[in-house]
Amino acid sequence: MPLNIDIQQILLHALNFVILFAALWFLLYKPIKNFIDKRESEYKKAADEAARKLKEADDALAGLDSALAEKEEAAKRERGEILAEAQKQYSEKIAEAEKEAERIVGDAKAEAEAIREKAIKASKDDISELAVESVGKAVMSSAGEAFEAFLAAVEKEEKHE
Amino acid sequence: MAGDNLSKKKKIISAAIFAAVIILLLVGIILIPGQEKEPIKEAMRDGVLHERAKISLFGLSVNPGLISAYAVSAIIILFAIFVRIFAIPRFKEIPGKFQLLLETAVKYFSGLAKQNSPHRNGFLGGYVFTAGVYVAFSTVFELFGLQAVTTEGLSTTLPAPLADINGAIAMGFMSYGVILISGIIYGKAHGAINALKDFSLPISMSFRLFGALLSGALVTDLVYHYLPLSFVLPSVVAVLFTLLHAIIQTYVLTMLVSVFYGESTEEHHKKIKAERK
Repeated sequence: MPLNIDIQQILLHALNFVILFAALWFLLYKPIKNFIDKRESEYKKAADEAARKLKEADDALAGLDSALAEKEEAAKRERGEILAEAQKQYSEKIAEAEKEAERIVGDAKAEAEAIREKAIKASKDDISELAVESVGKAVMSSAGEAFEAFLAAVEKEEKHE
Repeated sequence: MAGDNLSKKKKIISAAIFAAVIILLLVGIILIPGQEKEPIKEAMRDGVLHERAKISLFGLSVNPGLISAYAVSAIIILFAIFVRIFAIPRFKEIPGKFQLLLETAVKYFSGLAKQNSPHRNGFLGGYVFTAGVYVAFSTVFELFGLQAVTTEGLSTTLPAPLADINGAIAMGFMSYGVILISGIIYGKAHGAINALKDFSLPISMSFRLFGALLSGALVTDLVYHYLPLSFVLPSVVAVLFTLLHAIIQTYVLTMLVSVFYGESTEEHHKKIKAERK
């Protein structure tokens, strides 16, 4: 054969390589590859677990955020309701107070009017009494003089007679 | 001042002694005849064809490259056995330097297989790992200059196994066989046709390996055949070239096998994808 090519030696080389392949496959390549794959799968598993836990934490956080928002909303709503109720009560109290005040003022006015009327009446009575008394006195005094004059006149007449 | 003069004088004397030693060595090398050795033409021809230097292997007369191949395989398998028994059971989650080296090698070749053949790469990863380790170690093997006795009773240096054309052909055809068989199994008719249309692949793979490794060995032989040239081109350069060579050849062969394997098994996976959809 040209170039000293020898089929038998080619086959011997091939046999050598096949044996080497089998030996390296079982002794080095497969065990090392298995070790690397196992470690990678463990790391991947750990990474997946970490990612899962992170997602769970994120979900929980989102849930908490949502609950917090709901609570805030409820609190806001409740605050609004309380404020509205308070406002209503306030308005009612104010209205009641105003009504009471009006009533008190009305009563006071009525009482004052009654007192005034009573006072006026009393005054009128007093004035009447005073007037009567003064008229009486006046009458009495003028009547006395007249009576005296009459009596004097009578006496005088009697004398004349 | 006196000290400066003394120092200058000392330097001149040192330089003169150094130059004299170099000149004497060169004169000696040129004038003193070396031992009788084979002419360069014969050495180069034997380096390529291995017609003369044969070694007996269980009664068979084989090229030194085959002995090199067995020696390399034996060393690698022994190393693998030691690693399997003593190192792998002690592997840790956080690797040490040696574990990291082994893991990097395995991950590189399995990654290469996965990158080029994303769905069917289990066997390919193991194959390119073995091929890569074999090519790299067998190229570096020539640096050790192990000696063997030829059938003529002479001493010969064991070459890189793939510098023997038979070793390179075996490697090229086996790689093609892996591509073709995988194409038939996984790619069915399309895969087989895909692999068959690249019928020149085993020849190109074989001769690329053979040519690349042989040329390196021949240039080194040529340079170091003449002793004075070894002073011009220090041996460390040859070592560096060999190491670089080992890396390049490993990369080229494993990359080619992975790419062609990926192409030949491609169609089948499209069908699987379609089925999954």
